[in-house]
Amino acid sequence: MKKGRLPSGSDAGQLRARAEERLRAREEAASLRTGEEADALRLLHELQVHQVELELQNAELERTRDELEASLERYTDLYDFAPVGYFTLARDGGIYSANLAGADLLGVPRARLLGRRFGTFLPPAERAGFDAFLTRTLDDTQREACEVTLDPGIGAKRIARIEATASPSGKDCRVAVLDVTGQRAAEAEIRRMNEGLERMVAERGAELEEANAELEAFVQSVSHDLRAPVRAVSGFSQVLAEDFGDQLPPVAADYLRRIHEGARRMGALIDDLLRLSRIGKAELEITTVDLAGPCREILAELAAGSPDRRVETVVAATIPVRGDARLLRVMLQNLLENAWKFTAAETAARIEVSSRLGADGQRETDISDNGAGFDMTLVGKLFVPFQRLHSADQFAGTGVGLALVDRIVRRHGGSIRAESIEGSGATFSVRLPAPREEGP
Amino acid sequence: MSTASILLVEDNPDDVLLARRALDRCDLSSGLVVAGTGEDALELLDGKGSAAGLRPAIVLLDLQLPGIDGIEVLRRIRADAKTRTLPVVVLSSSRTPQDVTACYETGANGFVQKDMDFDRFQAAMGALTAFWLRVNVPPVPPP
Repeated sequence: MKKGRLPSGSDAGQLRARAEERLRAREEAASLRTGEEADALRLLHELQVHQVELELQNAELERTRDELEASLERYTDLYDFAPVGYFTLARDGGIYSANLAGADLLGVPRARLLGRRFGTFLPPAERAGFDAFLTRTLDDTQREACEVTLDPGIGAKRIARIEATASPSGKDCRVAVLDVTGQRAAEAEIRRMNEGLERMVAERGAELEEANAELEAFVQSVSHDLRAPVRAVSGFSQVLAEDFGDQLPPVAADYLRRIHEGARRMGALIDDLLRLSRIGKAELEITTVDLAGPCREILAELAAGSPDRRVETVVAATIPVRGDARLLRVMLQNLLENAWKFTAAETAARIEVSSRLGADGQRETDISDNGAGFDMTLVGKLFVPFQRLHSADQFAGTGVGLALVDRIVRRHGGSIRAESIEGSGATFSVRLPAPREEGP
Repeated sequence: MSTASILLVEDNPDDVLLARRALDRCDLSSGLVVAGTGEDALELLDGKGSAAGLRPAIVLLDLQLPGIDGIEVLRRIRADAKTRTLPVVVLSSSRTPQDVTACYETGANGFVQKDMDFDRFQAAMGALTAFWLRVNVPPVPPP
């Protein structure tokens, strides 16, 4: 007998075994065992086996067909309700088949879509490009992708990403069409927002720069305009003292001296204000600077300037930092001048500059003295311009020096703090970036 | 050609008086001519088209002037063949590096900051002016 095509060999064998078994059961009921009868019966048996076999085969076929139908239905559902448009297109762009999502994308019922050219749903300007894309896909028989505008006529235009693969025959290709309108819109929105943000930052930056420049110009012009009258007061009081000093009663001469001193202080304040404003806008020229050298030079100058004083000075062998050599020298000048000034009353004055490398790659430099120090409760006023913690009688100065130091340190991305026990001295700790090779 | 030792271009009367006093003390004030604006100074040097212009031994030039400023006055002095070789010393209350650089680039021979201390101002003025009047004899302008 010929075996059924559908069930495989082993399945057929099983079927036969089951059929024979069923018949054997029947035969056992009819117990006839004679010659011709037996032949006829054997033939009959054979036929019956075939029949049962066929019945079983039929049942098997039906079941398989049902399974196939269910499977087909499942895949058709998947195909139709996929969120992606699927098409089969001929070389000329004619639509062989489309899923529901694809028909929706083109805005035409599926039944009316077949046979139309896919290109007609594109704006005229994109059609030639799309035809070339199809040709490329079919000729190269590999996966190709492009992006097109879909213009369904009714409704809004969509932006679609198209991926196409040629079928093995090379006569048509399967095309997946993904609606990326929302994605592209979101991207455009992000781009627009970014540009807006950048523009805003640039505008704010420009405004800030402008405000800074205005403030700078204001300080410059006020300082210069203030200088002229101060110069007049100072100059004429000096001339008056020189030319008519001998004719003035002592009290008048004293008043004149005070006028001149006031003008002199005013002049110094204006100069400091100018210096302070210039630090803010000076361009930094960052190099590796060893602070130890300038420290020793400044201390030597200070010693030469007041030969009557004896001050013990200790400076670390080397203090390498990254910064602007000129500005850092101004910083050291102010800190060391302060230390020098505030130790004036000490019989055994001592100024020490020590340094260590912090774990964060910053170098901390301490400038310590054993001088007058200051009240720690007032430490907040220390770095504010024109704030002074001592009276002018005690220690001269305009109150700009430490503000200048603070500004220089901050412009280097560093920090400064001060500690003191009043009457026992002060320590100013400056943190500045260390050279990279020194970092941890 | 009228002669004058010093042409002072300065608009502030206080500064004029103080400068005169400083030069006086150095015995240099004879022949001092004062111009209150840059325009006046250029007119004096030019001689108003007809007469020969003023030829001072030195020009003391303030930077901040009403109308055309000091730098522009200097530029015009240097642009004119008749006045090109005049020694010009700039007096300024500003001493920003930009101002100093601009002055020297435009052709100033010297730069004096108007010091707020009169004694120092007097000393600087005296020394500079004496140099230009007594030590350095200005070259004769080319024909």
